[in-house]
Amino acid sequence: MKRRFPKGGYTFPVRKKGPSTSFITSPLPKKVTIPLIAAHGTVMDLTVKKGDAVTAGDIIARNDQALGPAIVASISGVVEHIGEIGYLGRSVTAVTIRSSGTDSVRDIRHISRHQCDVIYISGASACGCDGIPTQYNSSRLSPASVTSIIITAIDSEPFSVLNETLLLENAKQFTEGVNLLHRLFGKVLPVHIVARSGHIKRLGFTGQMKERPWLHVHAGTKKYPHTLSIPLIERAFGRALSDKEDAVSLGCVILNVRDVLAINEAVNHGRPLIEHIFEVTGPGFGRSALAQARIGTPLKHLLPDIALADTGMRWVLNSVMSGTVIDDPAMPVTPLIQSIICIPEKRERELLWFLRPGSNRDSYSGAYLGGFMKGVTKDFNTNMHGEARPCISCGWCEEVCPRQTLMPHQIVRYAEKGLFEEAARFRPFLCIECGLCSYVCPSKLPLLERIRQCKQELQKAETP
Amino acid sequence: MTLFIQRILEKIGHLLESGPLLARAKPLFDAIDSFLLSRETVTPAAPHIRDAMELKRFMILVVAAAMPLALFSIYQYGWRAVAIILVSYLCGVGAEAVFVVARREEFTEGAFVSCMLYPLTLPPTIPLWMAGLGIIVGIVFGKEVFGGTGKNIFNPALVGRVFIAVAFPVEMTTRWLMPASGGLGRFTAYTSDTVTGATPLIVYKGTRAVTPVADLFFGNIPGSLGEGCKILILAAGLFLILTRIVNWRLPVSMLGAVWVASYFGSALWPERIAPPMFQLLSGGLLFGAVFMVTDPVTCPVTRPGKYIYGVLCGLLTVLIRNFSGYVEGVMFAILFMNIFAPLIDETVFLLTFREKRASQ
Repeated sequence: MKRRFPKGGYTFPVRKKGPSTSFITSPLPKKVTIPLIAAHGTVMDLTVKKGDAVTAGDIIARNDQALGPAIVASISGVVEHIGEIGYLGRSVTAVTIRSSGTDSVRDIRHISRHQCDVIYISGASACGCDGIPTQYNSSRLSPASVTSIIITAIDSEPFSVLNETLLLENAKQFTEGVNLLHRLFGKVLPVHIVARSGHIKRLGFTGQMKERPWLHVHAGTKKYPHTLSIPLIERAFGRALSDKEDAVSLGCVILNVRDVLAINEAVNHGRPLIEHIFEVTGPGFGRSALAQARIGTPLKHLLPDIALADTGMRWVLNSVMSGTVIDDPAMPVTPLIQSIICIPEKRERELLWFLRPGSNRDSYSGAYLGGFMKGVTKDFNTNMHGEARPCISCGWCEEVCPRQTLMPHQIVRYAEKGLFEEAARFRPFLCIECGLCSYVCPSKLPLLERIRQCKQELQKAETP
Repeated sequence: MTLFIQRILEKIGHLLESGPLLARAKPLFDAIDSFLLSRETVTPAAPHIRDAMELKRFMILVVAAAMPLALFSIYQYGWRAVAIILVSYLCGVGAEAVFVVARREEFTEGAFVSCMLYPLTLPPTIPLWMAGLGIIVGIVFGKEVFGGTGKNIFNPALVGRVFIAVAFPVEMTTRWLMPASGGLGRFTAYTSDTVTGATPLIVYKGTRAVTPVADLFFGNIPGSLGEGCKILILAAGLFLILTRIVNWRLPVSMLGAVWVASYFGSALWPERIAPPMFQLLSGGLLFGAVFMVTDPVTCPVTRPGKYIYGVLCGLLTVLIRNFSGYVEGVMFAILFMNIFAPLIDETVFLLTFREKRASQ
């Protein structure tokens, strides 16, 4: 029997709404604060100064020597302030632009004949897991080292609907974008799309594959974390990756549907990346919605309740499994925001909780009725649902782990005693930090935290 | 109601903080507190949501799976079965509580499973003090001396069972009861006086007579409290596998090994080795395969290790049953293999990660 990759994973029983998901927009903001944030903490060089007039789409910061994309103004107006702000746990320079009231946007189509140039100038090279490779050092990959493009069109994160909604609503633009991507780097590259089998049929991908030999469409599942980059490559290539292999070493550009649409907008329609689409979802929000805003718009303009104290809600950035808590309502919108998830904080104690049938509870085990009652909405909240206990070696963390031969329980057994060298034997660097092991652990052990700590300690020991 | 209990518990909690002697009872109070009310603790960091499964539910489901067997034992042997189970809980949980207080550690739920499974492996005529002594030895020397739940090498219930089997062989091997059948059974009686000396395995050892499969299957044979009805044991096994509490590889490999070994063994050496169906359905094999081999703490953690462990448990059972002076070999086989579980795992690790070692 042929083995399917990636292994493990877990489908969260969350009923996701289809393309009719509601939309959150804000009017043209009077002021935006654009953090000059780039992957890997690169310091960007400002190309504007206080008092300069800018048009939406003008580059305001770039650094062609260091890794990172160009950053463009998202509204037309005047640079009002340049200063430091706290963003995602670090201090970054931010440019505040006051709107002039006009909504003019620079058309960048005719700036260069090279599509890669257009992608860089539009700011769209910030898309993708590692950025889009251009000659301006916008990604850890160079255009010459790209060997394939892998696009995920599935949402496996619990509560997430972004990719599938955008795919179904923008199928034509998506196909345009895919056609553009395969010849973007001066050679014909294989493009792998991992989509749900229903969508493959509905959007006629099978027929397209016959016409385009470079297109490979794979049926994927909604199992989390199968849409993260490593499992995605394993699905596309049909083999398990080692702990030395990743997207960069294999030359893979990993994109999602939104990235493809942004690249298409920039290259085919000359529109710079001034607006950003992300999703707002989660049981605390009540519905799933797509939000569209100019980059730099404070989140509180879109979501007045966000990160307010005493609302009994926790707002999480990007992933409820591995993301961080949003504690600043004025946090500006950037391309680093994929989704915002709102989950109720639950501190109430319940009588004989563990003895109840639990038709509204989610569990990897079949220990609650909820596992057999698919129609009942599951109650997701921040409660730990139990106390920390010693590991009983149930092996669930290993079963759900998407990486071949990774044994979270063994790594943690040694890591919590400080025996990191011993833990290294179980290859902790295979871990992609999806957090699924911590989720399923019935002993409520902080497996993700311990493995992260183990990796850090081993890296420290390796650096002289 | 919840708020009322919460307030009472908070008051007792404050009271316990008032003196150093009372503070020693904190772990026991915490155990009762978390048993009655769920905790208010929220996730400190990612992942921000957690699975609803917890160890209390994990353990209570094993107890629930064994409950029909306990009920059936009352039907077969009278209410004395309940007395044995209660004594087991009293002594076992008591022993655990003493260690919890002495060590100032949290009370873990594993003891509830050991105290339920252990009495089901005992003969119905066992003196109550003996049953109590066995579980105390099991919990103390099988688990607590190793550092408590998760750190034990041996299955505590089996340590207790083997201890009394070796210490009191007469009571443990010669005094069996013929089970009741039909009507209300012994639901109306405390116990029975009709002592018989022979379980199907003893009969086979003496006369080579094989008990009919139907009698073995429906439990119409003398034996330990919980090993009677094989349908209930199989149902419990299925339930535990479906809830992922039991890893199916262990019972399947153990039973498979017993079947294969006795199928070929009885064909080659019929005067020594019993036929496969008799082997599978007699004694404590099914009970052991569902409840004892599957103890996650004492079995290997690797997948290939689980198969090896199960197969060796099965082969050893056939070996002890048919070639040693003992009539039953399941508990010895599992306890013996408990010793080798870490070695099996280590071998699997060496083979799995050899590529890494070579590259270093």
